[in-house]
Amino acid sequence: MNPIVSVSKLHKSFGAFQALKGVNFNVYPGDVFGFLGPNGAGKSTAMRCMLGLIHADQGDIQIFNQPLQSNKTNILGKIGNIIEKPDFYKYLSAERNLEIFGRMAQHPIHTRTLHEILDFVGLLERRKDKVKGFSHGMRQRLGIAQTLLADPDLIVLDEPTTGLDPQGIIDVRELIIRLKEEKGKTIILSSHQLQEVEMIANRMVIISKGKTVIEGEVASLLNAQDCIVKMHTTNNDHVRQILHVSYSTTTLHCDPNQGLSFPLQKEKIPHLIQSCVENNIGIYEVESKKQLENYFIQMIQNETV
Amino acid sequence: MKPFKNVYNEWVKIVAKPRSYLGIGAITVLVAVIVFALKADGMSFISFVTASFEQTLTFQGQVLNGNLVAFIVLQMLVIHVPLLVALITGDLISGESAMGTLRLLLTQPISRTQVLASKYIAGAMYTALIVVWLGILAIGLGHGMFGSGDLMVLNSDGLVIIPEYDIAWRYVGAFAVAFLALNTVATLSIALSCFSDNSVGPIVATMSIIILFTIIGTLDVSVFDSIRPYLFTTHMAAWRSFFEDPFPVNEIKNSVWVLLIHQALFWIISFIYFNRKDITT
Repeated sequence: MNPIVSVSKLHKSFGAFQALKGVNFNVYPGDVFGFLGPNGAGKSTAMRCMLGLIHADQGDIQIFNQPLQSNKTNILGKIGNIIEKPDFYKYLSAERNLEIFGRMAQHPIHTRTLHEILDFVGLLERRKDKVKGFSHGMRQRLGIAQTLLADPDLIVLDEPTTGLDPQGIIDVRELIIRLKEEKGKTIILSSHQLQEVEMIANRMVIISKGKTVIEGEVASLLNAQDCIVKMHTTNNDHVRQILHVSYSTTTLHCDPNQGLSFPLQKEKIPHLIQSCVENNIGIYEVESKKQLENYFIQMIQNETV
Repeated sequence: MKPFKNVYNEWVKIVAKPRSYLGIGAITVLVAVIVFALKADGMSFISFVTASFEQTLTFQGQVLNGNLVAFIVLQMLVIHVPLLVALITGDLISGESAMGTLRLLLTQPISRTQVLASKYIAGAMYTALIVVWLGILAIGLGHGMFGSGDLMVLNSDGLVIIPEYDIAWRYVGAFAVAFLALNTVATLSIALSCFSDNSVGPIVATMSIIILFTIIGTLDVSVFDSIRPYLFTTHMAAWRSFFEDPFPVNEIKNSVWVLLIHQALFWIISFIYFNRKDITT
């Protein structure tokens, strides 16, 4: 399958500061692609390069199998985006804002379509209200509505949940899932909410200090390394001893009611359970999960070393 | 045609902005104040101007008429209108940058050249609206309150009296050249707007340039003699030439060229810069 987005050897400097020092990644049709990295890693710069807002010094960006540089207008017609936060003309209504961006689309956008999109994001009733009266969450939803105007094949969302309250985060997350499942969109999602990326994304890239650290399927990347095991037993202290002696593992968390959590290689989990049984320790619950947060920190630390 | 659709977009934005009405409102109030002031005490103002001629000339008919009032209004306001124009046009790019809408605008399927061209056209439309409104108010209110008559203009060569039947085309020409001069200010402020990420900077910079060039243009220092004819501010009052006799065709042509060349220069600089600009805000 050909990638819908192919970025290779992307370099960009601002004066003496090298923001991108060779970013590479591929996004395939239907992906929800997590774009991760610590602050200042170059995520926003890379995304802005993809959208033609920033001119790369070196490297190649192919979108829909076309070079961005020579087909920018055509390519942008098939991409919806929110970069950082969706800013609109505050003195205009939600509907008027969408009409403005709709007029720039490659194909005319009918009022009915516009109302359907506003309905999809839950803003149909507020369409006549001026944007200056909207909450951050409503602006975010209007931003998503704007990305859908031209029925794009690719949607780029840079930090779409930043500044939202928990309900707002859930709303936006559900919208993103619906975009994938109901509308079949390919989505590139940059977020600091690693749990959110873990829940939504099927592929991801981690960049640090302007370089790609790792790229791949979220599931395989998370299963390839250590898991975080949560275990609740009849004798948690004894389990801690076993872990220390047999596996040289330090327990991350120990609570008499909630049990233990600790890092362990996946293949060692059956041996641990067997040891517990041999030591007459009753097991209430075992859960193993590779947390993206741990993986992310590990990758960034490795890169730093 | 996307460029024209985007001109419509730009016009919608200008019309929706409250500050756009500041210029229209300010002109309305100022013209009304000037006209009512002339109505209340206009004759003493005229006597002050004509005092030096009263011993050699006799004025018959109504000297203070609608045509003279329109001329006085135009002369008084054309100095201040550039600020009202820059207030809107200086904000066209930088305002979007400050608001954050520029990045959304530039990720639409429309080239940066088209975006900038739309803003220039919308800026020119707003400038034309200001000039037309100024003309309607000055001539309309002037004629409504003072009636018509021959126009008496005092310029550096002396007193020029233009018969009533010969005035209309001169006003049309004068307002056209005034528009051209103001559009040069609009073009300058839009060009400066490309370099800034806040709304105030380009407006202040535009006015600073106008003030600086005006000072250079009026300072009687020989070192500036060579550049003075090429400054656009020297030609800001070229509209006055329409009320001279004999009619200075070459002088007006020269002014029009200088203003157009300045506009072209500002366009070229802004198009080159804007197309290369990294949008990092």
